[in-house]
Amino acid sequence: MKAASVVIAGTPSVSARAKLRAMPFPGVAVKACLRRVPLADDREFAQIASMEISPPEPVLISPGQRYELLAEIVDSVRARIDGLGLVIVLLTGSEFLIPLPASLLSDSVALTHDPQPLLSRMLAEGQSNLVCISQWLRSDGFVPGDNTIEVALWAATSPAREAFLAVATPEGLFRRFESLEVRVDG
Amino acid sequence: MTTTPEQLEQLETPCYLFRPDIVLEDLEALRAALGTGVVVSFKANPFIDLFVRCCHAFTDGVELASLGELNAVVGRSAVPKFVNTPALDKQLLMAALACRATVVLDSADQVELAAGLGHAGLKQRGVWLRLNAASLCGSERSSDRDHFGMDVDTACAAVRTLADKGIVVTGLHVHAGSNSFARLGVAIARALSAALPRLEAAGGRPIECLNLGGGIPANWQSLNLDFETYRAALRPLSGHATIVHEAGRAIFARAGSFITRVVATKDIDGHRIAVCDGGISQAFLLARTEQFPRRKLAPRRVAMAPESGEDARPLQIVGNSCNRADVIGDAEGAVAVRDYFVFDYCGAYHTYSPVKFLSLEQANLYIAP
Repeated sequence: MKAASVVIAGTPSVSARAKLRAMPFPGVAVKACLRRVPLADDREFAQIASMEISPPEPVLISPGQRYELLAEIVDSVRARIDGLGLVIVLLTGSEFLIPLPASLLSDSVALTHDPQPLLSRMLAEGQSNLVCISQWLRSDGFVPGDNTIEVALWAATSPAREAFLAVATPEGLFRRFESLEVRVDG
Repeated sequence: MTTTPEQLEQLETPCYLFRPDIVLEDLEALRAALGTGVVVSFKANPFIDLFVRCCHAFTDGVELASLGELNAVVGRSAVPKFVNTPALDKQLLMAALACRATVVLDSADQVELAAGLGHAGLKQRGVWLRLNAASLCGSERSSDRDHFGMDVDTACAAVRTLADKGIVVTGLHVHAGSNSFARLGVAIARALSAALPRLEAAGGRPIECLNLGGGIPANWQSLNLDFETYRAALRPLSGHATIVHEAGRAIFARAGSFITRVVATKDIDGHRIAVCDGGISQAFLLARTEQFPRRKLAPRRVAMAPESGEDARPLQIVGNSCNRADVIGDAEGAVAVRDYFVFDYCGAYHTYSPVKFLSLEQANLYIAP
């Protein structure tokens, strides 16, 4: 799946996008976790080869660190924005053997390959203050993306919107990222 | 590579710690020194986590020598792939072609195998041939002779055999072996210049790319190698074809350290010994496995507690097995249980261990922050 193929229709109340440009956890060594794919048949090799990305963005994090970054953001928005609804996290990749942090397994978090159907349904039901975290962070050569992350607040109520803007800063939610851009609808 | 006590305490020893930024830095420095592209030898460091963090810079390609190495890399990077082994068989050849890799044929048998396949990929992309470096240079030294590649006569015949099947030879590979650059680098460039017209005449077309190997030593940046003379020797070739080199230890060695922790100390007749949690089973290349002395490695010691005083007596650093050869370094000064020893320049070829003695665990592998 290419990074650009996941596009959410509609406009969030407020959103912020930033890019990972360096290893985000200074001083922390990362233990090896990537494995060979057990291929033997040349048709299997051809299929995997067709996934190759060129030119790629560098891989700056491990699969576990990708989860850790997402958990940090989920915890931050949950702690700083009162009345928050469901947090929907776009999660793609091949890291099925890496344990998820507890924050991402909470009842108030939905992990999905495609946020659109869930988000559309919840908006249609009149739910408010829904957070959608879309991320294209590369954690393995197989994982496409441009190392960006977007956190969007949908159907925001007034206090939640201000709280989001207060936390969506280079020192706050995006302290491990660079090139922050915040967009406010209207 | 600096390592503080705080950084070391995060690690489960014995382990290797690798720095992607040093790989990228040394690759770029080597490209500049050689004045050509550099194909990365994956065998020098087959750590996938390190590969994925560096491969965006491996734009000249990566050399792979087995199905396992192809497995590790395919799908993870679109950089050019070269499959090159004297043990190429049909399974690896088919897999390589499926991955759109360039196949480097090492022998007349491999030429027959490729020519007999009738594979469209071979006709579209062509193949490379490997030339035997000692034969090419006319060297009679036994230390220069190896079993890789073909002599020029065999290669000329191969070019014709392949051409008859519609397969073009697009490149040549010559590699004289580890640490051969200072002695044979210029000789290979000149010998290849002399042989190239014959090989091109055999195929009736120019050969587009030449990989001159390298044999650049791990510590090349401190050896004052004469790259200027070498680049001058390349000029007749570079006006004719694209030149690349291949490197493993030259770009990975400085990027990795082996780290082991002292689990016991003792004294036999005044000879001090530090027993560590890693040794021959995790870092075979550090061990004294031959009767003649290997180069003595003096690791850095990182003390974990205030030192109680100096000790000028020599200190032997031994590993965690009961193998007499499990002696991995020498040091001086005080030492205590829980101290770390950090062996630098272990980033290339060190993670392989032929020893599974005592069923000891392999070293952990880490990416440094």
